[in-house]
Amino acid sequence: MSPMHSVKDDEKALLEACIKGDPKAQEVLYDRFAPRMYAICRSYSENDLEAQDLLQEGFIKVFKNIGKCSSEGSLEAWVRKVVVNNNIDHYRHKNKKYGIKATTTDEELNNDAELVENEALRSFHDNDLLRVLRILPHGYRMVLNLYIVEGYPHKEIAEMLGISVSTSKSQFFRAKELLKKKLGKESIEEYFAAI
Amino acid sequence: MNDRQFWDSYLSSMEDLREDPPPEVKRQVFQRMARMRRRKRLMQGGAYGLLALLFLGGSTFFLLPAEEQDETAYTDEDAVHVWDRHIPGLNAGPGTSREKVPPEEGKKERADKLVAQTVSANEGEASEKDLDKRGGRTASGEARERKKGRRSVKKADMKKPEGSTPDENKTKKRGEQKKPAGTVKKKNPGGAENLDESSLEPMPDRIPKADGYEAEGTIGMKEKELPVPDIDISQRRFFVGADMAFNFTRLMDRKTMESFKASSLVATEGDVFMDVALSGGVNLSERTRVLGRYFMKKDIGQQYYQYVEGRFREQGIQLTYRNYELLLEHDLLQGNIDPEHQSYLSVFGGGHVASLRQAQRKGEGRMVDVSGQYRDRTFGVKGGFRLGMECPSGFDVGLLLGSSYSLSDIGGQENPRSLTEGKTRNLSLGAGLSVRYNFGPPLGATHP
Repeated sequence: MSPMHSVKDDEKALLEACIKGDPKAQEVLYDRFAPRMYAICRSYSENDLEAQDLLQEGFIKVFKNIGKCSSEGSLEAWVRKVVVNNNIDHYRHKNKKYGIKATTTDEELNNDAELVENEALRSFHDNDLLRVLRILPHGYRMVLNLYIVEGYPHKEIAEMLGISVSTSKSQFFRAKELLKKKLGKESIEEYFAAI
Repeated sequence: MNDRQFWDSYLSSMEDLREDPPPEVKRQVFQRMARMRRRKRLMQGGAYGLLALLFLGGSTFFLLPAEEQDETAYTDEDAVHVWDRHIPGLNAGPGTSREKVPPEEGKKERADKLVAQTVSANEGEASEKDLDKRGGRTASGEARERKKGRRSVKKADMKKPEGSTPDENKTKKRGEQKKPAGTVKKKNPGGAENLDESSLEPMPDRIPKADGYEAEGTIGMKEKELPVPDIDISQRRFFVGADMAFNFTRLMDRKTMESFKASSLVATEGDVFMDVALSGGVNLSERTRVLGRYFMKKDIGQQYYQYVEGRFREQGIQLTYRNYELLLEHDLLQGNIDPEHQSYLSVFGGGHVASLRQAQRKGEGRMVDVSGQYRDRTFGVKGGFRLGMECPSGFDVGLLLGSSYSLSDIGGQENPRSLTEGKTRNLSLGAGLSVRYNFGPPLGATHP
């Protein structure tokens, strides 16, 4: 998580205007934070349509609850938290059938025809990372994002997802192995070396 | 590459996944927000409308209409008593139904006429209703008398002539009637038939009371003897008071009108201020009064939200005036919410003149005096409603609902740095409380 810093003057004015329900201020806030929040929603979702739904719901909740945002902290961090919580709620309440799996079958791991194991990737695009994320089992993806991207400890992840701490840890371990396997360690080294 | 480096790189890659979402998402988000705002505005408008309806409708509902004056209750001293017309048969012949007997005829002649009318009266039965009316008092009038604590005349109080029947009474001439001692007091001994008090029979129910005769506790009482209600406090000539109200104000300038459009880059919001005024006035009549009000400090203002030079800026303007109002107030309805005290719903209207004390612009954590940008004097109109109720000891409390609008431009457009834009007028809506004290000479003995 990025370190907390005080809200700038214009962010303060923007926040106050949004609290009062000014539609112009809401548009400014949306334009400022929507691209980043869309990326977050894409990393949590299985496809772009679902990501767009999550983004829409997330911003509706942002505008409805903007009054609870403290002007002392970062506005972006608060918006991000609302969007992530919305994503978690979405999967908890509407995708119960997916559940959090303790194991992954070989069939699921080999489901992606576009990515071939052990084949060196000539070009590694960011979209591939997203594509790999999306073929991960649902539960692996949630734990991975919450632990690595959002920085929640396993105890909080377990509470949020309704699982045990040990399950959260094992899910993360398996997600990490799968990610490396799918992306190909060699290709990752090549990619990061080129940056 | 160890795990830490892997995840740091992973995070960097995730950050770079940023991408503009499709425009449909934005459209859907703001369509939903617009629907929610419309719903909220409808509910707010409905709540305010309901409050206003309750204020006006409730006062109309609870205020009992003032009892209508029963014109038949009191008659001119020289007129034939009106109850004559209610008795069948009595209407035959001259001098019936409110005909006034010329005073120059003298009492003797009048008594003669009445006797003639009585003799020519029909044999018909008079109903109890007629009895009431004959007494010069309707049911509402009786109620009023009871309210005032006066003894109402009841049929049982009337003493019937001994040994007489209703029919007999009708056929007898006035002079032939016997009166039990003390029930009829003869005022004019030189009456029509040289009536001897002792020979008069007590007045029966259906015999009209002739002029010149008074009876205790009977229905034949004259106007002078009827109870006169106490003079109402509200009918004192002068009053002074204080008003306190909360006002929602709007500065109607070009920027404000633009902000109502969806495409505008500016948003505006009204401000709420509390005002206190001293008032004083004169009651011109029971229902109409003129009053003046003085506000030592009356504030108006507005907030502006603008997206300027890549930054969203919030600024506000607050103008403080000394305000003088001259109003005419008229009672639309009078009645009694509380049985002991009179209530009324009145409408007021008039004009105001304001003198600028200070103008301030607020923004970015500081206040700047901008008095030089606004006009020193403005004027406008004011109107509204007051629901008032009399209280003991001459006091009067009321609820106020009003609106004011400045007809003249409050200024600001000459200065290019002014927050307001173009000709600016003020619109205020307010609600509050009002207290008055009535004093001075009474308006006069009047009846509600």
